[in-house]
Amino acid sequence: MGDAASDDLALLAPLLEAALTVTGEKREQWLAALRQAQPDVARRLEALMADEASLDAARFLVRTSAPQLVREAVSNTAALSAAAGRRMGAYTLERELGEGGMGSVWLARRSDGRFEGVAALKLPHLSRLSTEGARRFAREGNALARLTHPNIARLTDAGVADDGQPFLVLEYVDGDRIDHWCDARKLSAEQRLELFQQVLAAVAHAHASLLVHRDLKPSNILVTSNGAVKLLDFGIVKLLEAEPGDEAHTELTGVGGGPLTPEYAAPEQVSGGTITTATDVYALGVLLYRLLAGQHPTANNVRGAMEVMQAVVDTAPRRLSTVITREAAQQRSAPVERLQRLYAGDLEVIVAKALEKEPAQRYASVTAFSEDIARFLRHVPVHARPASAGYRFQKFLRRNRVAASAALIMVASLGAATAVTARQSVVARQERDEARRQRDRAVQEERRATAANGFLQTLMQAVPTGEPFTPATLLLKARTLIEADYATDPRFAARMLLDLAASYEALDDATAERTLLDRARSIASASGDAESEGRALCALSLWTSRDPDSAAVARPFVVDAVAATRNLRPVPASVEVPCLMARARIVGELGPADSAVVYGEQALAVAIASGDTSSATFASLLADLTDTYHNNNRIRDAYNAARRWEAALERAGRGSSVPMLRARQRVASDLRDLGEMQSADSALQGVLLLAKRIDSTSVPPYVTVLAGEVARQLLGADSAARLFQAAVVNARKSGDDFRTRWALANLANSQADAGQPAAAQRTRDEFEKAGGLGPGSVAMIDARIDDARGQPARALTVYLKSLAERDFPFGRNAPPYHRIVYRAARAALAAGDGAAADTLAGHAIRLEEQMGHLPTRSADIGLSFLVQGRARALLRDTTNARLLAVKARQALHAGFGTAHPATRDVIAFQQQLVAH
Amino acid sequence: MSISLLVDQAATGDPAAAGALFAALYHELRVIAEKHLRGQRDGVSLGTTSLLHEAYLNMRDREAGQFPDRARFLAYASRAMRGLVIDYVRNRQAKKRGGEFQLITMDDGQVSGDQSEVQSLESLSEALDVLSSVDALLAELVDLHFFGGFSFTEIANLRNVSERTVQRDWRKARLLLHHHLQQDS
Repeated sequence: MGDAASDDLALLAPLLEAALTVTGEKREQWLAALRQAQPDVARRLEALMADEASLDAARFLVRTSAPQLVREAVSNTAALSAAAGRRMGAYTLERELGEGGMGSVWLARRSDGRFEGVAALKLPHLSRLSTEGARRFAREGNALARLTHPNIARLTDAGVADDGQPFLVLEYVDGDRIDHWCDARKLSAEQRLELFQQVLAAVAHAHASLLVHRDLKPSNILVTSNGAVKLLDFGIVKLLEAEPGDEAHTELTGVGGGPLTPEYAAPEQVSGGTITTATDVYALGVLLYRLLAGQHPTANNVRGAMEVMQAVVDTAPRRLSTVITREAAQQRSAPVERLQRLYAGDLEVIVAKALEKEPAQRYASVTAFSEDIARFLRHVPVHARPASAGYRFQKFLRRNRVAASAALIMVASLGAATAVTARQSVVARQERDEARRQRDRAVQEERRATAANGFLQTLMQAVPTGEPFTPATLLLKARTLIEADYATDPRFAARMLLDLAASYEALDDATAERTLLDRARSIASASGDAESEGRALCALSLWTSRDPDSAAVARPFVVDAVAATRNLRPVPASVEVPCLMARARIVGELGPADSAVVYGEQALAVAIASGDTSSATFASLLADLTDTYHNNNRIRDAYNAARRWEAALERAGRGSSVPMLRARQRVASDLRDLGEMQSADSALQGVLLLAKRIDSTSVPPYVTVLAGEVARQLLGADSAARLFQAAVVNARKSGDDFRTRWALANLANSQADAGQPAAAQRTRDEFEKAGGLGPGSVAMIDARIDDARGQPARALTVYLKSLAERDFPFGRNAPPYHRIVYRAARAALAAGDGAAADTLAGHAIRLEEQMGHLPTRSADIGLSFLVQGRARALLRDTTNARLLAVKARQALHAGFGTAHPATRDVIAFQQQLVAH
Repeated sequence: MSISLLVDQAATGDPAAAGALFAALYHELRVIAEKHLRGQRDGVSLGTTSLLHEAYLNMRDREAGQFPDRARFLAYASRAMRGLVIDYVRNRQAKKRGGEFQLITMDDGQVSGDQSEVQSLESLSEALDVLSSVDALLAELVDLHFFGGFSFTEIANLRNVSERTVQRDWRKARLLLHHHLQQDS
């Protein structure tokens, strides 16, 4: 902190005080006086004051940002504000049930009178939770609440209390830890195994719902007084640690990390390997070892977490039959020798298999683990033995075909790369298959979940160990299986292929997507499955219409889809939505363009009516609609659609994805096109941040282009010229030809506007030599240079000619179009033709209003008002000139900010009008 | 030395007294926070402002005779709170690097984010010190509101001025701080 800095503040502080004390006209007068006396100081003061809006936008020192930290700081030493009698959402805390490293658990009573009853409230320490983590609470609690199983304590609610403390509402379980419960009742080994089977059933259910517990241990597994097992904390570990953007890693797999309990941690958790369902299998193995032998398999006489973890990784578990003590035998109501005989052989093989260091060597699923225990209890030979992944794969293929379907659904959905989507897709599929399900229900329900689990596991193990699998490898495997399966159930195969195709779309593999769609279509058509055939045809149409030049090729698919689904009443949304989207794209290209809006809006209505507002399809529907509105010159509608698109991606759990980047980019560029430059600028800051978060090494070129254009509008022409000078150098250095030409065009315009016609002319020549940017682009620069040289009449001719070429006044390419009308109005004004300037400016204003510019917020409209006002003044209509000046000032103030030259220009104009 | 004496001397610009006062307040805040940690829950939830008020009451009760007015005390205590927050963030960052024991967070994906958080808090703190040399009341206002968690109404009452004045001062402080941070960067 130098003296210069504090001198600077010391100089500005009293001036700022004076400026903030007076308001309105008085402040302007005061500032004008200051500008006269000390122009340099006045400039600095005004720049400083102009920051205020951006400070609000950036939430600089806004109170909500600090208390989070202050609370964390306090709760780091103090366990925060949990106290009896405190209300959290609809609950009142009663007494603390326990406290651990993650947070505290409270017994709470519902206090809104709607329901009677108690619940357990889990209050994680804020210091254990990232800010983002806190926000995820409300969002993800719902998803987890869907996990219902009699042996899993239900998560019923999640929320954030007024002070920012997140909480989870769980079913309150009045029970005892499973190990204590067994010991207290001196349960026999067989009874313990029966009880353990309940645990396995619960974990298998959660795995089928794509949830890994990661922290299974006796304190998380309670037994109630009537002998029912209840698992606590399923999915909660994930809630507490998941970071945004790694959704794909938080479910069945994930790189090690996050809190863990060393004694129950699997080797891959300790060493930071990939976490899968096998991680839970390991923890369950430790638990079973404990229940049967009364001690830890590897770290029995070891102290300290570090040594425990060392033992987990390095030490081989001792055989179960060799570790039984007299005390342990007594607690199991049997002599040592009997237990030794019981454990030797199959049972210790089962336990050892669950405890393999290498995940791939363990049981392929919790269900397989459970089956072996059942076999042991029934005295049937067990499966546990060293087996290759190929062996298990074969074994799986022989399993029931129907059971495989649930697994395939999940695999297909995994390709969409987000867990939330996966769950929702599972739900959607299950609903559609309701009829089927009723037929098969009783037996197959259970087997389906079971096989799903085994199938996923098998798929993951088929990928080389140590390497994280990619969705692409999984999809390939899944596809092979479907193809092997289709002969027996073509309806199922067609549907699966369609789901898989969607996954390939998410992976940007257009060729594979097309192959699958064609295959699905022919299977569906041969088997008379109208719905799947319709879906395939609509998807093919959408696939084709992604290339704007193929719109005509895309059309017949829609026609065929209509024919194929003629007898379906009603046409399912899964057919109708994609076909409406395809129609919108086709007419968007081939015309009539305004029909595209109708189709797009219909698609939106149908999708909303069908309840699908958080799928990838819904998001891409809104993306299309944004484009459609934009192409129809309805910029305000485009902006609103882009905001909905953004929200849909957020709901689909894709807050940090490339599509989200595109959506935000559209929001920013629409704001730019609506003349709201300051908002566009702060939206762009968000885009840049997101771009860096997704890929810190590169920012999409379009974002740079957009940022440059907004900067050009917000800065004066002088600074803009300097900026683009640098942009030209950079673009040349990177060898990006388009950006070079773009920067040259902007540089020439800025130089002309800054009153440097000679420099502008040189840049313009370079631009022309480089190839320009489409027809008329060089002529536009020429007109600006004419403007700058004081030859507005010539400029006006160029502008009007250009407008005529663009089908004045109904041109399609909107945003630059109204700007040309505005430039023409300016040129007319400069040429002294007040009437022409008035008409042209009026036309620009009407165009801008049609696009959705707000007269109070758009800088573009403000500039048009200013020209029209000056035109009226020239025509001696002072009353309207004054009125227009007031409007111009309001719009420019909002669009550009106080310090912008245009805003100062309008103030000068007002003073001039007063003087008259 | 008594707190009231330290406050008086700090007010005259004595850096040694200011340092000693800061240390005493910092210590007091930690003691209160830790007392709550040890589970002496007394039915009162521990917000930032109540922590500061509690510090005031504790220290006043221990001190015989004259005690500085609440406004001045709380301003100094909020300044100490600023120190506590910055230390906490630094600490958390260090822990992320080193790794704790019982509950281990193995990925340190947060470190880079925390680092910028530490830096921005540190530069804010430096800017506040510069502002304090120009206009101490403005810097105090930021400590009270941003770090102490006091609302504008509470601050207006403490200072016996109108809420509008506080709000205008807040705008001023914020603009000057931002200006300074920009010049520095």
